[in-house]
Amino acid sequence: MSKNALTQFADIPFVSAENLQPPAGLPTNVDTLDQFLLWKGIPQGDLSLLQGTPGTGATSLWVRIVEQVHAQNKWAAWINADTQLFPTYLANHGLNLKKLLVVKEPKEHEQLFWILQELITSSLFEVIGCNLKEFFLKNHQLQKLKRLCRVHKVALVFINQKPQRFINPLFSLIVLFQRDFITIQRALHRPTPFNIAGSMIHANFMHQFKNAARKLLS
Amino acid sequence: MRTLCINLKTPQESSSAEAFLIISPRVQFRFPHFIFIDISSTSHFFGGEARCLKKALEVAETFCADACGAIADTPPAAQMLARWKPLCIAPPDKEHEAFHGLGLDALKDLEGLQPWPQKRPIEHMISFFHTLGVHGLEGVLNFRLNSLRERWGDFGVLLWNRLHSQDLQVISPLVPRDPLVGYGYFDDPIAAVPLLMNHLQPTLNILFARLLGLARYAQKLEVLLHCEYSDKQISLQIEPVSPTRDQILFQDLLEKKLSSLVLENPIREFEVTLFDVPEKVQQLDFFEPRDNSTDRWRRLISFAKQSQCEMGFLQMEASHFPEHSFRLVTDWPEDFKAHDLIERQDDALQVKSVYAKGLSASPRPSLLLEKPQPLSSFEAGKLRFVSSLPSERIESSWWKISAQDLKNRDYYFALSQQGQLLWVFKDRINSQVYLHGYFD
Repeated sequence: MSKNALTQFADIPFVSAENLQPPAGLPTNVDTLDQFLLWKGIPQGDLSLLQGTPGTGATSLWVRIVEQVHAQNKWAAWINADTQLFPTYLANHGLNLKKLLVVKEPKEHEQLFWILQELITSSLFEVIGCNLKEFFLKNHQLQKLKRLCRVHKVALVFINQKPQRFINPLFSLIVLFQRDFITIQRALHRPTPFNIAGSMIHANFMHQFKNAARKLLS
Repeated sequence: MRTLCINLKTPQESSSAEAFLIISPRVQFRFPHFIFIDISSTSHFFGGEARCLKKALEVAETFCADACGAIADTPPAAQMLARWKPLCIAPPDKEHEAFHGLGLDALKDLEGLQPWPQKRPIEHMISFFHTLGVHGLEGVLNFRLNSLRERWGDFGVLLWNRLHSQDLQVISPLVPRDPLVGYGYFDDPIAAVPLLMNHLQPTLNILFARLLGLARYAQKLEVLLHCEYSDKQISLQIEPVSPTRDQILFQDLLEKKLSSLVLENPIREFEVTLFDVPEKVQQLDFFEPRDNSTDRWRRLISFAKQSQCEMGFLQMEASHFPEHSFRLVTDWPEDFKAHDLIERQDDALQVKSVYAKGLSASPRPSLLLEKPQPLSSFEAGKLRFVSSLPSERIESSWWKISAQDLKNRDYYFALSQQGQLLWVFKDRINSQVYLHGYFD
């Protein structure tokens, strides 16, 4: 019996471990994060959620991803919430403002969903960031967006300013930014929750601080 | 230009315009539910404008049961007539004759491809005309351009132009780009095949109407059913022998496949994908539109404008106040970099240094509030300032000091109790603390 079962599997072409390709992702350039995640970055063609009160570093992580996207001369898009993206910061990080489409805060919730669909289906952008004051998208809307993202190979990143307790399985990656560390709440095929010392990322994000301090002293 | 406007009454996706390509290549969708078709060069194929309108309404029925339409010279007038005088065909070059008997409320629908930027001025206009004793649209036609301009400025000019067919709005050819995909979600899960087919019907109708508009044939229909319990999905694929546009054939095949299933786990949502192939006789089209990424983003921005949502690129401006140092432009932004001006004359060289050149390199937050938000003394007391000295000081117009403009600022970095890194400033006149950005 067992012999028969083995012969059944005999002609299946198994892929060796070194030939395995991880699914496509966009690197964040934060080494610990990239090494931990399956996609070696944030998933392309899927939904990600970065959550944390403003001022904890979620947008900076998104900007770092866009940095890599712009290095390949590709496009990115951003949707504002009540706060706006500040171009001086972006220019300091070497972002190309000509390759970043910015959308002002939509007046209605329906309109935001419509804009997201339009942005994804235009298949112009590698990564789309959407800043939300509060997460209001329904599950069936997320499902539709997820499908569109998969078809058009777009990484859609939501940045939620009001962290939710509920871990929605529709997101392939959920990262919570806290005071001293960041927690990966959900990542496909990886043991979660997983904590990363925030200070390390913070130090990277805030390198400009050190320069400023030096400038003030001299 | 003769324009046909269809009012679909319920919000639609922009891809619905593709179904109307059988009437004219120049079709445009406007958020939320208007379709504008330029029929000036194609109406004679249908045997006149009345038949053309009838044909368009037949197509519109697949999207909305009580769609209405009208024909006029310009998109604004066509939209207005579609709402207030359905099925009306305004006489060519004399569209104002069709305005007879319309009330002033019709002005709200005189929009066309570009909606009124705000509703309030138009409401104000209507009430003003009422106080003058003008209650019909014909009365408004008698006003001269100058009198409207004097009272309402550019807005009055726009109204006059739209009323007198002077507002030129061009409907450009539609380039289809949405995949042939339909989606539906049931509030109550369904387990009966006839009921399910009934719900799939409108989605299939729309997909096949679009297929006809695109002049393509369906090779394969894929239906993905998501079940209510567990993550189970049922995938059905229907592929006739040859590509066809026969909707009834596809429906029959689908129904047969569905009836062989056991739907103990009821269906919560479905996705329908139609795989299309070009017509069997391939015709070389020399006027095929070239679609590149520049065109695509221009189209995206024009769509956004029609739905009254601003979208564009950030452009740096020459101002040392953070909130004035950038704006959103819809064209390619020009880089703004402060350079020293170097003047040469023979061997002499003079450098005129630019003021505040270092500002662009100074540490700035990633998110900026639209307006500085004042913090109460209690909130400000809870903040931990990173340094005792300000990181920068921004001032302007020392000769007119006033507290309202917030023109004397000392910027600090501060940490909140929740560990948020904030960009705050103290106004030097009333020493009030304002929150201006987040290092997010």
